[in-house]
Amino acid sequence: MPSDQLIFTVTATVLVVIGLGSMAYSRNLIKTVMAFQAIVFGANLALFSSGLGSYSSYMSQTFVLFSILVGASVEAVALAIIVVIHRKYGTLNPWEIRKLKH
Amino acid sequence: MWLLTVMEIEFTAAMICLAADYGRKCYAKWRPYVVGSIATGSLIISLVYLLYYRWTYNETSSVSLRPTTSTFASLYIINEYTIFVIFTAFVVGIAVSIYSWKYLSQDDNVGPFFSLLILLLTSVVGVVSAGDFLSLFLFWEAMSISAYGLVAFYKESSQISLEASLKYIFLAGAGSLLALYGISLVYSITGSIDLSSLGSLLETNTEVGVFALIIIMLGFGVEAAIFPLHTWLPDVYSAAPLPVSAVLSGIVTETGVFVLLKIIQPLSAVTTATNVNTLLKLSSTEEIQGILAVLAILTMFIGNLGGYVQTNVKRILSFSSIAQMGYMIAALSTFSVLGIVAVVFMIWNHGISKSGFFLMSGLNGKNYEDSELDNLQGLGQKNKVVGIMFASNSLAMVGSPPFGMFWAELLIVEALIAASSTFFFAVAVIVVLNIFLSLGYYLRIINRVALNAPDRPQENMPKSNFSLGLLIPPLLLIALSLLTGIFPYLLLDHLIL
Amino acid sequence: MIYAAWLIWAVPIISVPFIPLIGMVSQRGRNWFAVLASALTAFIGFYLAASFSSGMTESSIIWLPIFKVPVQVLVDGTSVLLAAFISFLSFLIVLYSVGYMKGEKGQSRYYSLILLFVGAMLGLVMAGNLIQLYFFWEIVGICSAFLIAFWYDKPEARRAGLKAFVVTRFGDIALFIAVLIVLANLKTTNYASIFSAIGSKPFGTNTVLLVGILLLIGAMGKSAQVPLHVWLPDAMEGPTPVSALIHAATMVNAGVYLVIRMFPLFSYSSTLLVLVTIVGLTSMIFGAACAVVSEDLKRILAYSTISQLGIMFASIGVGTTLGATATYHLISQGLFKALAFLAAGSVITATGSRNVEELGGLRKSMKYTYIGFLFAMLAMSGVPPLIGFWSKDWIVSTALTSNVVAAILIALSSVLTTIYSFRALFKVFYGKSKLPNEPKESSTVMIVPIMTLVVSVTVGWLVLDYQRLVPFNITIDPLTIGMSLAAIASGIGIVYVAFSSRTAQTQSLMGRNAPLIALRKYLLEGLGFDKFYGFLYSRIVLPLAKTSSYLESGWLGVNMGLMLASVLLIIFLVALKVI
Repeated sequence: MPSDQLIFTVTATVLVVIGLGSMAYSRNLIKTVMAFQAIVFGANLALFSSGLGSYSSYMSQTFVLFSILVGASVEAVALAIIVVIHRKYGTLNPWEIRKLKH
Repeated sequence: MWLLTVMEIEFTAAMICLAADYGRKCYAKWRPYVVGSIATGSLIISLVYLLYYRWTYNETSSVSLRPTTSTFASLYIINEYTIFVIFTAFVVGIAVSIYSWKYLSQDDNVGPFFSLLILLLTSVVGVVSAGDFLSLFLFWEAMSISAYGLVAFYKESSQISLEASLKYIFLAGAGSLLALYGISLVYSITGSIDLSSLGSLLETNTEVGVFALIIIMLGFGVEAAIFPLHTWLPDVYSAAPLPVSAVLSGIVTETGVFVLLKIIQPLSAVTTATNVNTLLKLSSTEEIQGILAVLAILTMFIGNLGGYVQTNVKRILSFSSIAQMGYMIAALSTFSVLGIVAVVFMIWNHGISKSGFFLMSGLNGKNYEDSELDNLQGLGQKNKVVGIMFASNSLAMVGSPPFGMFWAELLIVEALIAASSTFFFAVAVIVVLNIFLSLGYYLRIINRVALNAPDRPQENMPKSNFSLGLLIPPLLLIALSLLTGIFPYLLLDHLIL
Repeated sequence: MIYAAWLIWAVPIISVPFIPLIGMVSQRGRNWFAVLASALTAFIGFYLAASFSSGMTESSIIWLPIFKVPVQVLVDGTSVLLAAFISFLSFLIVLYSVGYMKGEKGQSRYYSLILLFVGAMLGLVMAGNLIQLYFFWEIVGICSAFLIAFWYDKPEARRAGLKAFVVTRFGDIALFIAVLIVLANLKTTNYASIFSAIGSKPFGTNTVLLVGILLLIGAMGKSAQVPLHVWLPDAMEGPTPVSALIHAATMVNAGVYLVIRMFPLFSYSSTLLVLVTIVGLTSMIFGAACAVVSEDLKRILAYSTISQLGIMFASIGVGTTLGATATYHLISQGLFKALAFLAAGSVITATGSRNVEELGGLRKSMKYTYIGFLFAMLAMSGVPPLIGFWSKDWIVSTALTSNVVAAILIALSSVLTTIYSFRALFKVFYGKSKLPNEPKESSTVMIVPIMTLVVSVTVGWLVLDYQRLVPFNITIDPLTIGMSLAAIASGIGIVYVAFSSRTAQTQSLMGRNAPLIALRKYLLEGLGFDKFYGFLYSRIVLPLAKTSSYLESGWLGVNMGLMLASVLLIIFLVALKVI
């Protein structure tokens, strides 16, 4: 891979890993959503950078457009559910939201 | 273009369902029935159209449809596997929507429920017929979002479905983003997003290619309950409303496995896979096969063993689903045509049996606690038909004749043995042992529900609802399973090239 | 004649849905409909046996399209003979059930399950390829499990039924793998193709050995051989006609039938034959030993069945007659064991007790039952000229020519057989009656089958033109006759001495001898097999299950942590060039 594509891909991987880690560790659901967005950014960055190589970038740009759209919708749904959870459970800490009996 | 026609019908029906939700005061008591019949009607029309298309065109090879001629047009591939899975999806969908007529009461959000259900099934049609990664990803996300919404339907008395939906969003969302990341790597290597170009992936730059494929499989495998990523399944299946659990287990999780199948199909035709420069000195296809097989074995054991300590029927069924997905992935890992046919047939059988089972466990009530084994105990003595249904569906899930799952498991184990290597023979023995292990919790269900007597007096037991609308869909699904078991050639003939 | 081969298993299965329907209208109508269906089946069976001339296989529609496995029937001497035998016996037992199950609730379920069972068993025997055999094999297992658990209000019955299902299923999965190996290697499963391909490339020695062992495990599960025998004694919780039909005469013979049918495969390797013999001899001795100490009448008969099946397996292993001796003993064992069970059922209904220590002196009050049981025990011990004598001594004679040790062991086990059968006879029918009131003789509908079986046990060896169907002559050499008569005499002698003298010395001898008491306790518990299986379950399966369910902790963080861990693992493995 040419070097700029390599840098972008490595950054994207780091973003994805950081996002996953923050999702695991966070104590506030809003932070979880933000970490989720970090993963979205990472994936989109990787997608976009795949066009920088020897293949055309038109396809990857189109893909990125659609992917951003999808990421936004998923985040909207997630936030909607978080609003209702806050109303019902009273807390935004995922470690306290545990009514499901095991 | 029958595919687009089907989608248009469904979208229209979804909009009508949403619109029909207004005017609550007018026909409040009949609302679930009216909206439900619109939904069911549209599904039946689509199913009939699908069968008409199948019988008149009788295509036996894959058909590519490009709606426009530009290079950005998306590609749809329709072959006999696709048609089979779409058929399964519609059958399960019809059964679930008939069930929902009686399940939803008049003050639930009936309109959004049915329209989300229709959108879910439409996206499933899109996913299974997608031919390139872009349309696959778009329909996959559409399916996931509909599923997130459906799971989150909650009642005032219990909000556990919200928490389950949250976990589902985060896990499955992260999964599809991982898959997206893998797709980007694939594009940077092969330069095309067609699924059929995956074959060339393993013939050139193999290390990054193998890595990309594994990430894609892990990503789509979240939905398909592969081992480290299966943890959402018991919570979501048990906390979601019953029709939603039925459709999730009946078609959505199987779609995950089907996407894995679509990825594996071009890989299985690779003849000159180069060796990867690694410690294990395997060829790249063998590596992926090995990883898939190992993950499948772990999935099976987790699923089957986990069912032994559960006390709630819905959780038992979800663990069983994890295990059945494990069987399917094990068959896929052989990369052979027989494996693919076995998996598609298993999708049909597992879909109808498992969703029928979920629909049946709702006879006591809608809450999570109502399907505890203690509460379900003695149901068979209250109503003989229900007892027979529980017993026969449990037998079907274990894989005994004369039900259809017997042939599906036969084909799966056969695919593993026919791969004629000691590794796959060991996997086959493990699969068969797991089928034996799954007896343990299914027999407990038969024992407590169908055979046993209630151990509390009548007043302390929850009141069961044996209305016809709730009993007919599972009965229909069991009858279909019996039919498949006694006459397997009726369906299998359509799967052969 | 070919229509008969299809009809014989189609008729019972098709009549199954009618039973509940007719039962909703009239109870007596349903009972007599069941009798009619089984009578029709028996008639077809006899017609088939009488008009049999040469073996053939006929196929019909393709059942499993990918491998082109058709629905086939195989008509040859063994299958025709067994079909006639099974249908005859099931007719008698359905007739008996009309009287035995009078007044029970759930009779529709009972008759439909029995007819389904009969149809599946006949389908198994007439099956022309292995996949069809396995299909019916499993259905037979399911019917048997639900019939054992027929009185589902009793927890022991439920446990026993499900235990039967689990143990036989374990054998079934071994059979499953064997069938699939054959299918994968040979692309077909009908018997002729299998036998002609033995030894050649895709089905070489190692594969044949593997397939043979797996088939043997499957047969062991169904036929209750050690160590998969644990379900049969508990299966006695079911109604007695069920025990008579399924667990004495038909289903447990399915395993033996499988080994007989696949005999060319087994005879290819001498290791396999030796294994079959060892399995048979072990079960024979074990079953007989446990039967000697049992106190429950039906358990004695159950252990005795295990023992007799062991004799059948041993006879396949040592015999040079391609399993014909086993088939003959199968039929004779089926006849006299069914007779014993029917008589025992009659005793149980009349007195309400199953414990031989509580019974006694029924010889005068239940004359016909006594005659039935007497003839069954005589046949079981091998007293000439009943049919048991011919079958057992033929086995010993053929064994003498090839494997003398086995022959002597079988002859020795006849001593044990005689001991437990006459012990049961004496304890139940002789002596003083310990019961509060005088039991009545059973109804006619129950006596007729018993008497029919008495007649068949006595003269069956004359009527059965075995030579025509299975081309082997029944030859018994005088040494065998001498050995068996000696065994019978010594057995009866021991029993007579032990029970009629009742001297204080023997009582105290038995009471103070610690090894004997421990042995007796072990045998009563079935030599600890049940405990072993329970240990396997609680110590190995359950802790693993708890571990597995801990993974589904439900915390979002843990789930995401797992995903993170797997991604990192993959990245590291790729970076370090392991993958």
